[in-house]
Amino acid sequence: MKHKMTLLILLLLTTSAIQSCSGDIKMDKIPELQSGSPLSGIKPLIFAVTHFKNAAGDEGIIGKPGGVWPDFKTDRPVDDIVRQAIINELIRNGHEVLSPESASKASVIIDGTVRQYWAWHKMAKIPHFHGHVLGHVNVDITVRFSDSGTILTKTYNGTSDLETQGFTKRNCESALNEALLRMLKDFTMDPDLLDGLNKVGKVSLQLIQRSVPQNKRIFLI
Amino acid sequence: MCFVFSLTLSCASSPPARVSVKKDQLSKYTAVALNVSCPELDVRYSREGDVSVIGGAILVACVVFASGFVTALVTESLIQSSADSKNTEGFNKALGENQFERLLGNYFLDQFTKVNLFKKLNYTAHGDNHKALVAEGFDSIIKLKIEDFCLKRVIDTNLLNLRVGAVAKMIDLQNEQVIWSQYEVVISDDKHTIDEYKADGAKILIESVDKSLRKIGSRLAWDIMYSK
Repeated sequence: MKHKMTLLILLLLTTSAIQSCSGDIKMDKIPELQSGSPLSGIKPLIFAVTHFKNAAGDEGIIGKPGGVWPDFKTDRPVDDIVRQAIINELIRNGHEVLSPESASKASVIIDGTVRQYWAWHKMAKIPHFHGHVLGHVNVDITVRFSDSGTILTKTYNGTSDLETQGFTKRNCESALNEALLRMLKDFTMDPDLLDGLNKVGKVSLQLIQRSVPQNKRIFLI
Repeated sequence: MCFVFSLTLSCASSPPARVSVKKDQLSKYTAVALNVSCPELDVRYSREGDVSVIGGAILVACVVFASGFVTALVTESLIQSSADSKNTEGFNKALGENQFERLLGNYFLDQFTKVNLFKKLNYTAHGDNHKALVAEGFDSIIKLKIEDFCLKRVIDTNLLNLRVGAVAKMIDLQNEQVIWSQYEVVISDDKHTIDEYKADGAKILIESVDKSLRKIGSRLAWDIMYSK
């Protein structure tokens, strides 16, 4: 009886351990930045974020744990994750985001290609007693400011390095989410982007003022 | 069993807890002291790498001849620490007069010049003497403390990247309560060898530190300025 109980406990432990390092990483909730952002200091603009391209390939997420541990994948395409993270951040800061089909009505159009989106595990080596789970997100982003006609194209990166002793699904998820948020911060707090958006905000306001009769302008300013 | 044991031990490091502040909370503070501190640069090359050739030889010798596994581990760690210490010393000598705490403080203050959030926001040298600050007319203090300042080896390469992490806290001097706290870390995209970082009086390193501090200073300021 005692042996059966021990075996059952061992079986349960092993099952839960195997479950924790296999299967998809659920991305139904995309991580969001918590910090105050200068994006909220810009006059509300209308954005369109097109469908991003995925150049990270099928091996968007790679587990390289020395052949012992299984690989992970997100349950959502990585280009969609990055795009949604950007949309959420724009909305969080008071801007409006249109669907890609309505891009012609937007003041700012954001387009992108996800180049890298991976987590990688480096096993601990003697005499070190910890391993690393590295996360990396690399995205080429193009921003078109429709009013001023200018274009900003840049590569934005997010890197994370967690000291761990195992490559579990949770560690992999943490490393990826941290890298994604760092990339998002790098993009949305880029002084070049903020300068461009500030100019669009001013140009948009001037256009509205010009199209409204002189005696009504005061209500719009 | 090792498999299960390894998993139970696994954990991911997490940044310090964030305390957010509301804009209306901030309006009662008018005179804010600023204190910035920065440790010396730490080089983590050997400690983050694989077993060195010398260390590996010692390790094998000890295991084969004397079963001195523990001795080997200690010896290897000492060799690696000593190599890192030498590099750390060299870099800090080269960085010498650079006052990174002042640089971070200035990037932080730069953002506040664009808005009138506080009537007074000034540097103070005695950040720990809160009574003296109250006597000087301050009602709160913002402490920016760089906690992580290192050149860290990129796994499986001979390259290093710069990692700068700073904790910011705003403290109410009347009740000693932390009303805002935020952690900001920047890991540089550029990766270089130790020799490249050393070249030209550590020019690349100084530029990289400047870039990271600009990002951290601005982002920390924005977190207060654009609080909701």
